[in-house]
Amino acid sequence: MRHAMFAMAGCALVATAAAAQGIPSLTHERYTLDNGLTVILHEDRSTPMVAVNVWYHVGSADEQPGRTGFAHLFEHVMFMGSQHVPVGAFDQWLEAAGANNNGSTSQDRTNYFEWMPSNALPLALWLEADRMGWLLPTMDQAKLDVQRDVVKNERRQRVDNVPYGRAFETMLGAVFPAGHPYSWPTIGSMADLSAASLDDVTQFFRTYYAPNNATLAIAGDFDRDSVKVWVQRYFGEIPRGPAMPARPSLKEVTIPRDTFLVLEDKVQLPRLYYAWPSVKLFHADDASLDLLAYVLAGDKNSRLYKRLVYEMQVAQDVTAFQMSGREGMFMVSVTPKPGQTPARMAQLVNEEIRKLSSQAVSDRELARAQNSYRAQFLDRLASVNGKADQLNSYNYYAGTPDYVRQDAARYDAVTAADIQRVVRDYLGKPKVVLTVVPEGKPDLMVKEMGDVRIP
Amino acid sequence: MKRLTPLVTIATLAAAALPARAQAPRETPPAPGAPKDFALAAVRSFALPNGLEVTMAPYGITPKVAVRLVVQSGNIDETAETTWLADLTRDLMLEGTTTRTAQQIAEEAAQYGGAVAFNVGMNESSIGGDVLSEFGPNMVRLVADIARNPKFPETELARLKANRLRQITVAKSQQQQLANEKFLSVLYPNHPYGRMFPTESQVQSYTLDQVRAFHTANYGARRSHFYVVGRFDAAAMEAAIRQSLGDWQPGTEPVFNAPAPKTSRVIHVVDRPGAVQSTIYLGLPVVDPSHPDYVALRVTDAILGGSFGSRITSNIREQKGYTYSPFSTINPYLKNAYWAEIADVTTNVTGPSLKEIFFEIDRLQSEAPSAQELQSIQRYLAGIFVLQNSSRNGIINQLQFTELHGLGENYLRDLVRKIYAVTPADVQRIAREYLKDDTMTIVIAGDRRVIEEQIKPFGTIME
Repeated sequence: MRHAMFAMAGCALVATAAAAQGIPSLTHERYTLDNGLTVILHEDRSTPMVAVNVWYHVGSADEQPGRTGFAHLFEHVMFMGSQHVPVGAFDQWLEAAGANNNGSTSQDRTNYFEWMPSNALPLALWLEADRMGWLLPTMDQAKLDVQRDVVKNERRQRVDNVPYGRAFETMLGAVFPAGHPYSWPTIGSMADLSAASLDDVTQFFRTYYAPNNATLAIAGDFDRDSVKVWVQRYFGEIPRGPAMPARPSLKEVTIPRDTFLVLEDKVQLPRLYYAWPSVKLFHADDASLDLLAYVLAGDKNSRLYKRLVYEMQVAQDVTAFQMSGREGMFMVSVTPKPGQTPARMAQLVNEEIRKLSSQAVSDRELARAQNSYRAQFLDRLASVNGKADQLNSYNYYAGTPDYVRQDAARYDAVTAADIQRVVRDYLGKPKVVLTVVPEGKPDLMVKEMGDVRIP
Repeated sequence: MKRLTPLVTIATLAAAALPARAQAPRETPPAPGAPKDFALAAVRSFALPNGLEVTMAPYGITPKVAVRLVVQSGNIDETAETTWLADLTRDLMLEGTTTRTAQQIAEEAAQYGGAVAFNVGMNESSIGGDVLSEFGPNMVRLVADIARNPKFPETELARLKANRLRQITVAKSQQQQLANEKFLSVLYPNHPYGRMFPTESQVQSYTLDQVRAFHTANYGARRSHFYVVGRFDAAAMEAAIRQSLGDWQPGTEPVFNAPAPKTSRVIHVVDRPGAVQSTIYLGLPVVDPSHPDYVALRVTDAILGGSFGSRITSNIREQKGYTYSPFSTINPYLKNAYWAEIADVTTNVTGPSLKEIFFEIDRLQSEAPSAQELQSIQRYLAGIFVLQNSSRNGIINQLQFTELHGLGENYLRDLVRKIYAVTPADVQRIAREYLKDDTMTIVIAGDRRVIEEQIKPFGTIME
């Protein structure tokens, strides 16, 4: 026993020195079954754990107006059992194997995942295969109706009954033009959820839930030969589906002039939101925009936090982020303290943006932002669950599962001049400005920007 | 003196319960393979002469290290007049030390690839961070400086009070927070466990002298434990800890203020006119982790409402669609805990939700679960245990929990075995003994006018 422990400590030291600051690569094997299912295997034997992660390349951006929220509602229905899995058994069987499971839906994809002690791997694969191949034989109105109610409660709990809960979907609808697939929220509208029919479920499954539109990533402790046998046995007989409908190519989004909106809500304090159309994931300016968001509001020494929250004490909180998928949007929000107005916040935010456009950030500011991103990359790779999702994500967005070091390198390559440039190129363009105000106080709305010329 | 905990391995899963089946195609799920033993992180612990305990555990392959200084002090050390003084003390400790400004603290941590996490809890407070491995010793020194040498700048006091007041205002606009506050105040009257928020005038009254006194009384080596988990240079980390905390004042042992929990079957309504959902808190005080029944209580909770496949969740979510995120939980304070089922349900099914929750509690009391249902949940908890011990901060959480509740060094080694030792009769007994319907406290935050008729049958509504 003692021997084992000292051996372990010794390994740790050597590897720390060698890996130093490095981001590990995700060595993997990728292959495709005859039915088109892409399989990605990554072995990591450091703990007796394994993760299964399935991506279907369909999300809310594939929905039609009038059926918003359907991709996510469908995700819920996927947990209601399939031909060989009774209602309720999906969770119960996995939990009985010591496994956790969940799923999520974004604009671009839907994922399903299990993470568990490694001996439960065949069960997880079998369950994923059953719902990929045999969901419809036992699908019925009752399954749809109960999950429709659950999803409506999810919307109430996350959006309608939460302070500022409707701000994000309001911004989406204003930044992206009507009919643009990013213009509606993934959760959908209550009316569209009510309209979803059993026929929609059948059509959606037949259109999108085919092995040729899915990737299966497995990361963790497994024997590669055994896994390949299981994957072939469970998934191999699922028939290939039709080719995916072509996704409309997304036109560049521009806003002709600053747009001002107001939303009355059950809130104590108003909050000011800005949103600019930006760039998609892996665009040449995407990493610079991520780092810009950090420089603006990422930590206590960030520009907006330090000045508005800490020094002047006029704001309660500030946020900034670059959201990027197949489209991008850059957002900033500021909550004024009582007695301070959103208009005053707008003036200060504009001043800080102007400063960033006229003078480069310091080396230390840039290094802090870059170190924070390096730490985040490591965190995402810390669990087998995180690794499996990263493999699928990179495979989808970058075309290769092992892209993490190239991804990290994008952030190392950003210079102070890049940040200054993206401020001018993106934050200098027209934007959407939304003020969420307490009910009965629409006068607090920010209605104009004044002089915000960016050099 | 050094103490070595041997590397222990745990058989986390019982042998397959399902009979071995032929590999029939598709119709039946594959039986699980043979479980592998799971190795807990090898832990090395030692104490410094001033009483500070240190525990270090190499873990994982990611070049990061989590450090955390845990001080056994928190809101429990407040009086009825000083709620959140512990939190305000924390806020001021982050405003700078005798040699670092607040900005420098934040900037240093960011340079190390992390941030300072300083959490004040009911029984414990912790200062730490998860940083790139090469900066581990630097992070130790930063954490030690924050704990030991606060500057307590008077200039920041008014701003920090105002921040806390805004935080209260924002929290009180959230229905779940209001329900939680009411629930705690009913269960733990006249005790810090029952005080979620201070009043505005209280916060305004706090002085810098009170903050200084709180720090002096509660922060010291004898009630503290330093944890290091991840990839690190053990010699460098130990040296940094000895150098930066070896001469920290010992301070006093913690003084425990025992709670006298109360519960009775009445309904407390927090009125939220127009609310589209009702937030339900339904529960009561139960035994704490040091009690022999605690493990069986956890198993019972997981069957009843504490897992996706649990009875209450299946009933009110997967069969009826009343709610999105129902769950039950045991919240373990030192020397007392509470069990609660918590759910945001559509307003018009508030009464029916209560009916189903009680139905499931009663069913477990009147009939022991099947051996198969129990074994399923035991395997689930064993699997969760592996997950909980598979991240740097997860491992620290486990070690910290063991230490706080005085569970002994074999606790983590034996936990899985104890989970599997629980019998169906135990679960039924636990449900009867601890989850008594007739003393269950019910709190509902929602639209009183709409729900009143629905909830009346479930208890007297408090005015």
